[in-house]
Amino acid sequence: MTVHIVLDGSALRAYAELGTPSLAVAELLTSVNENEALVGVPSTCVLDAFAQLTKDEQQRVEELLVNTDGVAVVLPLLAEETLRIAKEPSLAEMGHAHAMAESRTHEAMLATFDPAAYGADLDEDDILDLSQ
Amino acid sequence: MVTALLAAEPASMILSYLWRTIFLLSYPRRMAVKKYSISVPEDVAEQLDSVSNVSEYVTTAVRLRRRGDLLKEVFSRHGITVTPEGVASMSRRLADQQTRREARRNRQQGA
Repeated sequence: MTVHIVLDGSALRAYAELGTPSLAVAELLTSVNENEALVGVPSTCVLDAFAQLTKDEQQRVEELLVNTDGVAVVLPLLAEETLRIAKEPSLAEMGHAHAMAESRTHEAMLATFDPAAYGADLDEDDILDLSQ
Repeated sequence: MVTALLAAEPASMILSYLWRTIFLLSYPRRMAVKKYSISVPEDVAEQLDSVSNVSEYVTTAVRLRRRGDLLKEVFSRHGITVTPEGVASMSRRLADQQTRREARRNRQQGA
């Protein structure tokens, strides 16, 4: 199975914090699964999100990553990619840089609630703006 | 023992036994399988008749359903209700956007 969507830290936070935005993330995961594909979550996005979440919110993200039989998979930051990603000049957070790199690697759309963070570096159609 | 075996069994059977043993020892260890006999409605039967490997097809379908059920359970525990309409809308959106992406790539490759 291939990674069709890369989910960034903003999407993880939106899911964890519940409310209306979390539904878009849930619908996205369900749709991707129905197409027998995967949602990739860059490991640095998990770290970025966890740093801003409460314990309960972290628990929700953990359940999503661990208890769904691999629908959402954590994408590791490999040693040979680290320096290349670290040198991305225009991105504020390493999670953004890692997400963009994974989006290119897998030719997957990048799902986010913060499309402006990637606007200059990804084509508009490569970004799935979940805030819409 | 080998002499007795050679005397008792035709050569072809011994070769067959040796071949099966080599095959089993060299083949990667597989997950255990269990056979089921199931009854399905006619429309499902027609679909399965058109499939070359029914076991693989059914296994994939069950695993897909299991993942979908696990997702629903997790979402339900988190108080999120996903509807078929919502998923269908997201699927359409993804398909439309993917079409645009592919059209852009084709243009870029053609240029």
